[in-house]
Amino acid sequence: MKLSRRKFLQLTALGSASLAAPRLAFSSEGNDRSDDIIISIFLRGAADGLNIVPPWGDPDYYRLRPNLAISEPGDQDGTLALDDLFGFHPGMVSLMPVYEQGDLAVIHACGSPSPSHSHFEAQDLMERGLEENTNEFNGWLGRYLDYRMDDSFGVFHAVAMGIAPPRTLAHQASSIAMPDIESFTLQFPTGEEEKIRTLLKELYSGDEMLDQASRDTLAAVDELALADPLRYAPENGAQYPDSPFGRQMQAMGQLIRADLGLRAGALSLGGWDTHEGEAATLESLVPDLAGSLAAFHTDMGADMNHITVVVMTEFGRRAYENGSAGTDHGHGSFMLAMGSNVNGGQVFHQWPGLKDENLYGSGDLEVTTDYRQVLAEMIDRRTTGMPLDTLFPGFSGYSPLGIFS
Amino acid sequence: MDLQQRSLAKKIAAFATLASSGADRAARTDNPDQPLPPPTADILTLSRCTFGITEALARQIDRLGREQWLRRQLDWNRIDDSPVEEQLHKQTPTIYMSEAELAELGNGFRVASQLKQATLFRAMFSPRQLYEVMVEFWNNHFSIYHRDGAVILLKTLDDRDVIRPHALGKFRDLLHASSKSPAMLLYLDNHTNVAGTPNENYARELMELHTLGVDGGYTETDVQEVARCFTGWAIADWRSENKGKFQFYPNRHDQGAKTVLGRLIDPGGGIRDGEQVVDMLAAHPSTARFICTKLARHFVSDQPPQTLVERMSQVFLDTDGDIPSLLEEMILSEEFLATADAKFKRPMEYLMSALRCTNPTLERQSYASLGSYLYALGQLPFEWGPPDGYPDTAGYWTSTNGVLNRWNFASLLAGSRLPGISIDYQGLAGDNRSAEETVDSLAHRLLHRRLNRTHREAFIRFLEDKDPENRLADQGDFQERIPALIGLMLSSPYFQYR
Repeated sequence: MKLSRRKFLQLTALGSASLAAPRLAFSSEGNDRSDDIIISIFLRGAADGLNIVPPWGDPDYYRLRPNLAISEPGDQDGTLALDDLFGFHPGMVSLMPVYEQGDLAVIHACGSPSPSHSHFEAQDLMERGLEENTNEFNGWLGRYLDYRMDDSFGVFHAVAMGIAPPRTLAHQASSIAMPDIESFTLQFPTGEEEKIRTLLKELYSGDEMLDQASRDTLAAVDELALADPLRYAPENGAQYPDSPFGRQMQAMGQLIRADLGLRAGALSLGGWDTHEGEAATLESLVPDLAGSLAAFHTDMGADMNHITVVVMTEFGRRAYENGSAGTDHGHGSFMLAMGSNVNGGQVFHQWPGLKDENLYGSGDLEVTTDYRQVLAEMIDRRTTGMPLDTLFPGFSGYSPLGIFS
Repeated sequence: MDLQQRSLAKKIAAFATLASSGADRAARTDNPDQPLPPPTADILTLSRCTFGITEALARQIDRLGREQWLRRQLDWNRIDDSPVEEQLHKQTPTIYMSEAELAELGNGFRVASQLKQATLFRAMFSPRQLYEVMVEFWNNHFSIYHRDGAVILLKTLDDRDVIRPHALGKFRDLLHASSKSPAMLLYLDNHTNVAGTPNENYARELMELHTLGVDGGYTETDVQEVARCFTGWAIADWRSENKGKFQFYPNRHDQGAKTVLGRLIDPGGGIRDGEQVVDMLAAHPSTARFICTKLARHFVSDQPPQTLVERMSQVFLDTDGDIPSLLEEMILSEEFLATADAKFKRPMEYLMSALRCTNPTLERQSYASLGSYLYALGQLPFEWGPPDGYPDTAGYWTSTNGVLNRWNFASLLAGSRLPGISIDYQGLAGDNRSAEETVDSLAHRLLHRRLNRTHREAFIRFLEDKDPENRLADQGDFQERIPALIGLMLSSPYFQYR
């Protein structure tokens, strides 16, 4: 059951022992720096790190993927080299300037240590920030919100672009979900609006499932109308792709510009389950992802100084290709981090190699960087911090990689 | 689409009869001080086993009693739905086309759109209501995304030849049919699963999502071995005589021995390899538990009572997965009756039930209105991308987006403001002299249960409003406010749960 923010604050104030507990890691006390706005993007369906950020310098890559590998730099439709080992899929071209400018970092052979090869289980675990199933219901980003919550948090503190908030955002208070800004208005009969709203509040008061959601809906509609985010056109010549994801990234930018009090946002881009005909799928999805991220970066401009974007996926794909010009479920994949305070322009990795003896399980890229290392460092460096065991229960061994400054 | 076929403009008398019969009303339903007075056992049964309560259904279950009504619904073949099918033959002819005809037609968009329309039409108008609920359940269990290449044509065949014949049959038969469904083979890539370089997609989802469940006791090796068993299971080429039909290609099949779930599958089995796997999975205790949990989650509670799931699983194993036997065990259980309002209506259930109780005139363009709201709410049929199907727990659907679009739909429907949809207010509200009578009769007609005393008074106040700024109210005619009251009732908690 959702608690109202006020009730939640009351409860935490009463049981403040947990808040007073020593902070196990993270920033020094007395740091008055404000928190970054965190935007979490989940690539659903297990995105292929090996073809999105191809390890062109590893000869085994070409051995395992004779038909599917992205060819070497310099070839037509070849890899866009980032260094001697890695490059970008050619569809990532629009992110090259962001990378070169130092605002985009890649983390490779990265992912969850969970052995699950199920999309749904692995997404669920990653969004909850867990290695194995426990009773923890909320998402990792949600736990951050719960920890940080105070009176300054408004109804728009957490927003998901889409039908429903992803588990990543689940926390004690509720998140706003909207597929777009335009249609988030009420269509009550003219002249009756106020009476209907009053009566709905009365009818839903105390309703276990919908009391909070109905209040939040009414409040969100009002705040949105007042702030009018749609008046903010993309700045600095940013051009978002004309795709659902591009429009949602643009909307997220408009919500930030409208100063609605956004602290965390979540978006999903699906369709990465490339068991068959992978090349064609990536040719359409990768430019959508890259173009949307690049446009957001351009649009936000100097504001990227207090915005951090992270991109993740539930697991990677099998290192060797299958007979359907695709790849089956694998293990390690990649992450992206974008923002002015990202130590970008580099690929963070401990490359495990792709020789048969280096592969995980049935032939997957090994995970050498736990995705929680990346996220923990982001919360550590780009917010005022929180206890690690609250953010990622059961995760120890945090050591910052220097992805964020 | 022309949905005018129906004429259910009836008076409230039936509900008065229902209310006075009182045979299976739990005592607590009479208490108007509860926050949300629960429905009677009959009404609860109807709200879970149909796409929405109508006057006719309420009378029928009152006459037959729950058990008899349920048995009739389960005997779906004997319920005449020829008027519905006659309409569909005219409105959505592509749902009856053969593989070859669909291939020749080639207009995938039209084919997909007609299947969606037919799905909504049947949910709204078929007298085989429980059957349609189960068709939706299995379409969602064996979820296939409409916009995956030729699936746009092939899903029509999957719905007609795989799901519908077995929706109230044996799970084993349904699973066999699904494993040979061209739409499924294409969607989960098994059509390109060949010896030597197998494709694991179908094998994995078959075990994880269709049968055993993710914790059902299979290993990564089982996934690879099952994939080998299904090599060569494909779709006949569009140029061949059998185009668009299932075809087994022996030369693409891995003829070696396999071990699945600890059991040896002898070499040289050919197509029997996959069929044997289907038989093993259909009879597996993990499958029984997984399917029964999903059924109980759909019909009873987001957290299905374990006692019920255990009894159902036993029935599953005893009857070879006989779906009507499972439904009887569940619907006639104490757990079913003890969980009123535990389920939040999903968008499809919400929209259909709102239409079925308001009984509007539907014209051709109404389908677009309904489609746009199902899209906004996130449950347009066959549009869930991943293979796990639309979520069947409240958490996903109770977002601000969900609440907002429900209220908007209710408000527009009630005001006859959706293109092609208009309500007969006279038929719905009747000739009531007072605001009290109007509220009571509309509550009976739309909400099918008693109102909490405070809520009833609030509805009456709303209807009687004499606010001088309100032009309509100035005329002192509460009748003018009936559409808004209908919208409010459909927006209220009384209409969100089942």
